[in-house]
Amino acid sequence: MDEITALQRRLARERAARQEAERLLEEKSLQLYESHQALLRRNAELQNANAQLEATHLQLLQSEKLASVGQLAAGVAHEINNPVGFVLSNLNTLKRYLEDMLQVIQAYQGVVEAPDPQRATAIRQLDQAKQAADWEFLCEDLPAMLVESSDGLERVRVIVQDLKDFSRAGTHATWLEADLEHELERTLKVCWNALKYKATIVREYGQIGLVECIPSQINQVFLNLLTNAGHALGDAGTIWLRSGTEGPDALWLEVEDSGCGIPPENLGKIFDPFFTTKPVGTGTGLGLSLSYGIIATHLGRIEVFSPPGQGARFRITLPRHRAAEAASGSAPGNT
Amino acid sequence: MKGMVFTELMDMVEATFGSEVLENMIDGAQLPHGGAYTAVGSYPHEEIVRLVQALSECTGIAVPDLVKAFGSYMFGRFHEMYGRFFSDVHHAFDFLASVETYVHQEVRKLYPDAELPTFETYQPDPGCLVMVYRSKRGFGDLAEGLVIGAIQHFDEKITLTREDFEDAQGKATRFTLQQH
Repeated sequence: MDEITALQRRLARERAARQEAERLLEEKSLQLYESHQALLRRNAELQNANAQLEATHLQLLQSEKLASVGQLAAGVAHEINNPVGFVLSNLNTLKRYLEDMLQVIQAYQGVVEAPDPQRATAIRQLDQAKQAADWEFLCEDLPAMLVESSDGLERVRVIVQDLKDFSRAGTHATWLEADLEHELERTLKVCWNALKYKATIVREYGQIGLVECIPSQINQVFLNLLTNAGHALGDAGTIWLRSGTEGPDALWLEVEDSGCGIPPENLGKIFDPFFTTKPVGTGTGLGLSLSYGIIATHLGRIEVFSPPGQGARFRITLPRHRAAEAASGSAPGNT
Repeated sequence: MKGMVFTELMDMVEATFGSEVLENMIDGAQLPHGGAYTAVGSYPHEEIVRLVQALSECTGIAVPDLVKAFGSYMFGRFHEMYGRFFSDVHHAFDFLASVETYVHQEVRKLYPDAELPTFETYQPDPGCLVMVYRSKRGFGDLAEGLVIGAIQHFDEKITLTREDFEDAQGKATRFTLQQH
């Protein structure tokens, strides 16, 4: 075989090989395109699933919140009933005062209209009417009773407003600048009836200022912590509410109780969904799990400290601003 | 079998025996496509057997010797083309132990459908490496050539012994490398 023939054959082989390589390249390109399309579809499916998951989570959050509201309803009803009761009682008294006042006014009318010879008798009757009405006490008590009634109704208005704010739908997850010490106090009012006869509240606030957060969600966390603290106290005890800062960009809030504490074997499970040590029907087992999720959404962390037999201390640490957190790239939860 | 093996065989034959032997080998193998291979394609492994048999007839060299020589040649080419596999490897033992865990993983990234042999390795003592080659194609000679190529490349004093055997998993070849 001469060299030219060998070269020709080699060229023919290389041309055929090139064509084959090109065909394979086209095939691979097509496969790549199809894989890319499949990935796009999968990505869309995952995004959809993620959106559904998020919606379900929000629903769960709202359900838990409404469940808490349900559990609080009896206490709140009592909180409302008490001022409504004394306002009603005051109204009855005011009605009587009004009758007495009308009697006195009538007696004055008698004095004004009586002819001279009968004026002395009319004045005597006026004095009798005033005595019967305990006029001086009435003049003193009536304004005080109005103030008291007004205060009572204001209490009802505040409780109803707090409850309304608290149960506001979590789906409107609006980030706002909020004073979390104030929010903690507001949540305390909502569950106050369950705590007031057994808990001494000690406040050690550090004036932490405003925090960028979703207040309705943070209040849900506060409610869970306060309710749990109340349950842990038993008949009587102390709940400490504290706050402070952790550097310029983070702050913390604590709820500590002097109750029974958390057994070491349960410490690792308390943030698990459906874990509860409360009797059936008392706790959903979702409170702390959802709290954990809420704090994670805020790029914060929630920690529990419970030396055996010494009560439990829950600490929430949050970044002051979402933007600062994103810029620094280190969530307090990651430290 | 990946086309690269065929194109490398052609290059080796041409470089070693000349273009006439190459053409005779291709004719003798009676290939369906006239020996037009592309490195990125895949071809039946029987074709390499036919090519080597045809080469043996052309040169009078026994098939196993040709396959071993090709294995050693392949190792050299492998080193030239894929230097990154050798950047942190300084001994034959280290390289051979990395074939299964690293090299084959990298090959699968490029060719997910590649049917690769397995190279199980273990060291009964620090101076000894045992490598068990398994492949349904039964290219123990090719594997031996690659191992020899690795030993020569790292220029180490190693004695190689080979043992073909069969167990529950099928036919296999055990290479024992003993350092001096």
